[in-house]
Order: sequence, then C-alpha cells, then structure tokens
Amino acid sequence: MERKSDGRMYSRITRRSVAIVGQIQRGREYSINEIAAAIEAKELPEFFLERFGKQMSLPRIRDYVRYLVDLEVLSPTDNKYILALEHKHTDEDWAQALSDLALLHLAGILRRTAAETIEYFKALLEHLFDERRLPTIEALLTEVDISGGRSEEVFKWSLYVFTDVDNCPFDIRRYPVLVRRGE
Amino acid sequence: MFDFGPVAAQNDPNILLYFHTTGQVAALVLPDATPHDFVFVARPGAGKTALVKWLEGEDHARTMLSISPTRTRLLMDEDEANVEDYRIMMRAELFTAVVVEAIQRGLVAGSLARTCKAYYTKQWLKSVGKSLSDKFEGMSILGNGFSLQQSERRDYLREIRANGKVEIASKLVTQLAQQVPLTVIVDDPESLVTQGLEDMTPENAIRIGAFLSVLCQLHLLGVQVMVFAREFIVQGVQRYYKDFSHFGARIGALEWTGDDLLDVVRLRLENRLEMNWQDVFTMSEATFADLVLPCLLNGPRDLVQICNTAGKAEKRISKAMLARAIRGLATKKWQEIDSHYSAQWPAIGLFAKTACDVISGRFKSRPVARDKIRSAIEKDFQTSGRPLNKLREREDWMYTALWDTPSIEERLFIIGCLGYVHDKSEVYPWAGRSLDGFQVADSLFLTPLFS
Repeated sequence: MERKSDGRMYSRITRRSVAIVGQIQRGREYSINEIAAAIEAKELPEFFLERFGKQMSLPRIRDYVRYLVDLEVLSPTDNKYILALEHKHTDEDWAQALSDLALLHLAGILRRTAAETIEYFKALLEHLFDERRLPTIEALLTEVDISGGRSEEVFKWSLYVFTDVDNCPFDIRRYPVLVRRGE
Repeated sequence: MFDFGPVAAQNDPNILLYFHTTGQVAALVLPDATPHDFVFVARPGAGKTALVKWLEGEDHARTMLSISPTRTRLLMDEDEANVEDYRIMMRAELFTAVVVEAIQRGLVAGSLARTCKAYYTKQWLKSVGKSLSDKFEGMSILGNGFSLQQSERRDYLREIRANGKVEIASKLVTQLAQQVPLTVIVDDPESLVTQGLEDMTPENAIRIGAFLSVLCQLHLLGVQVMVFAREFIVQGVQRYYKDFSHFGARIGALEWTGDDLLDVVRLRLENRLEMNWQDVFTMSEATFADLVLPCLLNGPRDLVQICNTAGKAEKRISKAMLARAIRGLATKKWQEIDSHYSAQWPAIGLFAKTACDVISGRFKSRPVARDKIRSAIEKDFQTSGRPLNKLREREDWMYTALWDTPSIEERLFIIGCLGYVHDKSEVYPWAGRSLDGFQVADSLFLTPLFS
C-alpha cells in the first residue's frame, strides 16, 4: 500500500490485512493454514520483520489470517473460508472497507451499535481528559476492561484499522493516543 | 389569480369551511370505532392542525376530550423520581381526569355516575387535598394540568400506591368507555410533558415515552386515544425510551389517498373560490392528478402550495404553470426537510439530496428492487471520494448511517424521498407512514419531485 493522503503510512495491521486479502482468490475456499502458508511462501515485504531481519513465522501469520475471520473479511463455509470482500481498486478503498469492518468488530466487542461505539469513544476521551489522563491505547484498554492475550491484540488492531481512513472521526497519533480528528 | 387559502391551517380561520374528512378519519370518529393505533405520526403539512381543529370544533358521534398545552401541563419536578413513579402519577392523573370530565359534562348517569363522583370527591380530592388542595379543589384537571414539587410528590405517590387509586380509576374508566364513546385527543404530546426549550433531550424523550405508555393503557381500556405526533418525536422516543416496544406497534400515520387530495382541491374550489374545476384549470381532474399528486411529499399542504403558486397568474392554471410550481416546490422542500428533521439528524437535507442523486444517477426507471438501491448506496458510502463517502466525516451519525436504525432507506422514506410498491401500486410518501409496509416492500422508488 502507498501512503495515506497526509503522508503517513497506513498502520501495519492494515497493510498486512490488505496483503493477505491480495493473495486470496475470490470464490475459492481456503483453510487458515493454507492462506498462512501461501503468505509465508510469498515472503511478502509486509511480513518481513526489520528488527529481526527475517520473515514472520507461520504461527504468527496465522494470527493475522484469523483476525480477518474476526473482521468477517473471510467468512466460514464448512471447515474452510472464502473471501467475503469485493476487490477494491485503490488503497483508500481497501482502507475504508477494512475500517468499516473494524468499527463493526469493535462495536461487537463493546456490545454496542456502530453509532453507539462512536459516542462511547467520544465519551471515553472526555472522561480521560476530565481525569487529566492521556487517552493512550493502554488507558482505553483499561477503561474497556480488556487485558492480555488475543482479545487485547485484536481490539488494538481494530482500533488502528478503524482510524486508518481520513474521514474517520478519530485518529491515532504518536505515543500512541486516540484523538478526535479535527480537534 | 386563484387563492386556494393559507398553506398552514393555523393561519386559516375558515379551514373548517372546506375541511376534507379522509376515509381514515371518518372511520376513527364512528361511535363503534375500535382502532388498533393510538399514535398518528403526521408529516409536516399532512393536515394535523386542521384535523385537530375539526375534531375539537365540530359535533361528533364520539365525545372528544382534548388535552392541549394551552390548558394542561403534566409535570413533575425531577430529582430521584424514576420512570415508574412518573407513569404511576400520570396514570392516576389522566384516568382521574377522564372520570372527572365525564362527570362535569354529564356524560354518565345512575350508579356509575354516583361511583365516579364518590371516587372523585372522597378519594382523589382527599389525597390531593393533603398536598395541594388549594390548587385543585373544584377545578378540572384537564383544564389546569398537574405539577408537583418534590416534597409534594413523595406524599402523593405514597397515597396513590397505598389506596390503589390507579386500579380504581382504571376500573371506572373501563366502565365509562363501555357506556360512552370517548376519545382523548392529544396534539403534540411533547408540549404537555417536556421541560426546557429543547423538545428532544434524552430525559424529555423518556418523559414523552412514559406519557405515551400511559395513553396506550388508556386506549386499551376502551377510551379511544388519538395522539398526533411529529416524526422526530417518535424517533427520539424510540431511541431513548426502553419500553418503546410496549406501544411501538400501535403507531400509525395520517393517511391520504389520491381521491382525498383531489377532494381538498374540489372543496376549496367549491367553498372558498366558489368556482368550477373548468373555471380554474385548463386540464381535467385526472390529468391534474397524474401530473401533481406523484410530486407531493406531505400531502395537502404541498398541494395547496402548488395550486397557489400556479394560480398567481391572471389566467386559468395550465399544465406548464403547474410544472413550474412543482419545480419551485422541490427547491423549498430540501430546506423544509432540513428544518423539520435536522434536530434529529443534522444536515439530513444534504445527506438525503446526495443519496437521491446517487439513486437517480444509477437508475433511470422506477421502481427499483430494494436490494439494488441498498447496494448502490452501500457502494457510494464505502468508496472513497464518492459523494456519500465524502459526507461521512461531516456528522457522526452520517459516519455510521449504513448500519444504523432506521436504515438510510428508511430515513429517506420517513422524510419523504422514497416511496414503495405494494400490491403492484406505488405508495407515495403522503399516503401514510407504514414503516412496516416499507420494510417488507421488494421495490422502492424515488419520489418524482427529486428524480
């Protein structure tokens, strides 16, 4: 993926999600292992770990593929999965489609509607500011009472994917903190 | 020049001279009417004010009890009062008010009259007397309203609960309804129970919801209730009042047919202009109906407005003059939609206009399968740079509109931009507000005014 309109790169999770989807043929059924193995074999730059100078491990790639099941980008058919997302022509469209799915994913975790989720995040930011706390991702996780393991990871990923489009009401800035866009 | 009369009924002192009784309304005022719905949502300009004037001002086979904000307020200074306290208080007041009105108007006789009087004087006045006798004795509840301070309310609620006043009043109301065909009319329920300058705060929505819940109970006891409410009020109550489902299925709308609307014109010609159709229009009634009626959003007000605009020239009204008036109406309608619905959905006019452009740009003929309209909207909403997608960042509600309730298509129907096909016939927005009908329809169409 190219950069966003403001020059920043899309988040790692968005880039990796798009890279995975790019390797999946529409209408064909896959197991999670088959997709992960195909990604590993391709040695895609999105899955190269600069810090360690090597490609991501197969089990870790599997986590990313499973996340796409959570987002309902991959939908189950018996024991396999098919792509449930139409092909997009631009990076912005991929980001938008994934961002919308991430919002619905967050809404599901928080047991709210999409609209209520936006209101909830707004209220949460105000609450943290009122308490003179920075709305860091960690602070948000504490507030929503999610800690550790896969649930924490997918919540964080969905926050990044959700905020990865220009028109999203929220943005994630350095530290990292969640902020209202345009404020 | 042909003046068909003021477009707003509140500005028309002669409205009852040419008031048209729709089939729906005629059925509601029959002595043995037992309508399912008790709330009638009225689009702006759907004839609500004229109808209420007619119900209050004319003789009917049913006895009309009107609760209007000019005479009545049902308020409780809030602190720790919960919704149930509020409902109990309103039930006691409203049911007692019906009993008292029946006595004062001499509607009942015999043993029931004696029982009602005994309840009023020995039980209700006694309990009220403890807290606010000076305010209420000898007065009509409906004519004065009911407002309690915090300290008074506690005593009063205790008294109601201890003596089972709600149950007694319910029994009396049921007996009354069996003897006398009664109708309670409530115009704009929010004006009776809300506090502050803004109608639709979450707190006010809960107050209105509690009030509607009590009115529904009254309706189910056999006293016909007609509440006339605006759409955004109902939407707000649906959003904030958790027991909305208790009465949500009994919400209907003011309904019009093509014949009803033609009668609106005919009656004004006859009783206001005192002229024949041919003296005023160059085309037949059927041609007029084909040209004008599909372009109306809200019914009679739009119709009178088109006729007045077209009738400004010093000659008979032609098809071309009507067409120009219709184009003018379209421009005004977007502003009107904004002013009527933007408290609930800010900038709805802009969003709806964009959605209508998406639909009209994609589909040249009508009607269109619902799925296709949904898919066209979805695509525009989720494709970066497309008009609907660009709007998403404007308002928070727009950002999530695709997944919200009501859906984008339902919102377009509610504000009058979409109609639906039922039994192979096109149902225009002015025909009513059957959200159920809209939701199950396979085909939808953009109202011709905007296509």
